[in-house]
Amino acid sequence: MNWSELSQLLPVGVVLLTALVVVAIDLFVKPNDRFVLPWIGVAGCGIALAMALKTNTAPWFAGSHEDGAKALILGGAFSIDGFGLGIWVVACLAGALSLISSAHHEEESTLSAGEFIGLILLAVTGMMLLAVSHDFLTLLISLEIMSISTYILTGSNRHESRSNEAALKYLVLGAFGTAFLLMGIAFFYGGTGSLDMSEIVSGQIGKMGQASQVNPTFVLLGMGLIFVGALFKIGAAPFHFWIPDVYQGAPVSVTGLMAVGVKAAGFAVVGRLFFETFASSEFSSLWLPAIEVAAVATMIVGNILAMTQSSVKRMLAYSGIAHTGYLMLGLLIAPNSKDVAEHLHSINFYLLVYGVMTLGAFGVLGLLRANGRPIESMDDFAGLAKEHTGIALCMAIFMLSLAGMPPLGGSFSKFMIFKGAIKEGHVLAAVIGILTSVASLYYYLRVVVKMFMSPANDAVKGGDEATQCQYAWATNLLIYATGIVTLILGMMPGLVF
Amino acid sequence: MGFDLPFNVIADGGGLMNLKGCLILAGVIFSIGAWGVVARRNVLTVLISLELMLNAVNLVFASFARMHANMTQSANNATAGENGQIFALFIIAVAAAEAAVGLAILITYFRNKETVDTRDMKELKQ
Repeated sequence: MNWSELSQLLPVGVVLLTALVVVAIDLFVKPNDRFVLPWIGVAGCGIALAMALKTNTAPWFAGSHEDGAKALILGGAFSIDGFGLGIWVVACLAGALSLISSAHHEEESTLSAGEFIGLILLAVTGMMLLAVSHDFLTLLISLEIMSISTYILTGSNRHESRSNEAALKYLVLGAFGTAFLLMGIAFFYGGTGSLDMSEIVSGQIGKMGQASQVNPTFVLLGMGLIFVGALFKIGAAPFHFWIPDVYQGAPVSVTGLMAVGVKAAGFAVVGRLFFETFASSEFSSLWLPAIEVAAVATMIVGNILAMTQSSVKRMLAYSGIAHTGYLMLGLLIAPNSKDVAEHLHSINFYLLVYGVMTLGAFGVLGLLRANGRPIESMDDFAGLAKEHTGIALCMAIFMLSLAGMPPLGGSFSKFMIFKGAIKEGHVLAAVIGILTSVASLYYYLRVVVKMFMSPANDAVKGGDEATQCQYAWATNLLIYATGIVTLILGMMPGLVF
Repeated sequence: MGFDLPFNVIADGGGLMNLKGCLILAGVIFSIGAWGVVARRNVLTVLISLELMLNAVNLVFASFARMHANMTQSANNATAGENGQIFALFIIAVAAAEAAVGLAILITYFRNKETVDTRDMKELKQ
């Protein structure tokens, strides 16, 4: 065992250890003292975040566009590079923020606090491992650590049948996607005889057809199946149909974790597969058009269906699908081009900005109550600005930023993605992206208009009930902080880009 | 494509087992599983179909592992044959974990709704 290599995975270890510590402490504390558990989890995520930022192979935050020195550790099982570390940051952030926003309404979850928090931390562990896994075996294990934790978290409101239903749908469709992914890996293994992503890249595929070791038919079949499985996992059209149901049924803080963390980890895998494993031109000439078609379809489907929703949670789910489509535009680049690092950098930045504003929006959804339940439908937002001006303002910032309005964070990240796609010659896809993101203003603005221009709805007892919750202040703080960060990322993107 | 598929390389003892046969069998099992997930209405059957799909993957891994073990005597990758078997073992473990969670979720669902029929799962459409 090589400790200096293993120590590069220390941030993951910290999160994993925190998960175990939280579950262990939960056994010994009195029910009244359980309030401390989420904060231990937040501290663990925060430490891991700081460590990921401090690592010197993380040029992503140093302002450099290089992908950085890539370190393969543990016999090629993991690859520590700038892209993976960027995903670590997003995953830790998603974990910490969803822990904060779950702190005040954990009494609604019938899972005991320790298990709920432990599972969130385990899911974050899985995401972080997935982001750096460089071998199909570690990919499978970390994918399942993440997925199984999220299945349980989705169903954690176990007395509510909507939560059960969402968990069941997520499990069945998630496992369905995994089966396709695994079948793809199996054929890939059949074609190459190896499970290591980099080994395959470096030598054998170039000699395809003449080397007896690599069988192109099997590899192509494998790539197709892996492609289907990957689209399932990131929720791209035509395999997006599970997302709205799952996001709507899950508890709000878990929805935030899924929308941000799971998606970021999925994109890490997709990026690694396409830019490392299937990087040779025989393959990229096949998957580039496929990604382009899927991206366009995802943007169109997500945005159009989002317009028809009356539930804000479901609308945000469809908008998440649309954002998956925008992010896929960032993958439209020939893998041997020298701009790949820049594209991955844009994807990273987009995920960070998307994460901040989405988690803020889900924080708002989780904080406010209508008739004792978290607010959900469009009508619940009517007249919110009169009672809670600050929160309504933040929600407006999140909505406009998700739509890509100029001074806000969402606009700059979208700009970078579209610019990259146009530079690579995918003008039509970029134009469709721009048009659909203009169209998306319709449904985002509907929320803003409801909040600021409709008369107050009597059924909404927003703040009074909410502020009685023990940790409402923390969620309030989260909403304001993410709102301000969204503003800052838009005005001064150079801070992290 | 004009490539020769190494269909006859699973030599077992003196007999020759056909890789093509193994792959076709796995494909059929996988398709039956996929059809079951899509078409069956009972969630228990759906979960069993998922297991069927994963076991088809195991079969593919096992056959390819044998193929590589026989093919790569002279190759640079001496462990090619073992990789597939190890992967299949991991899939078995993962499938067990997934089935456990799936059944637990199904039981909580049944406690609330007293049904395991997918046609009754309509609460999440508005």
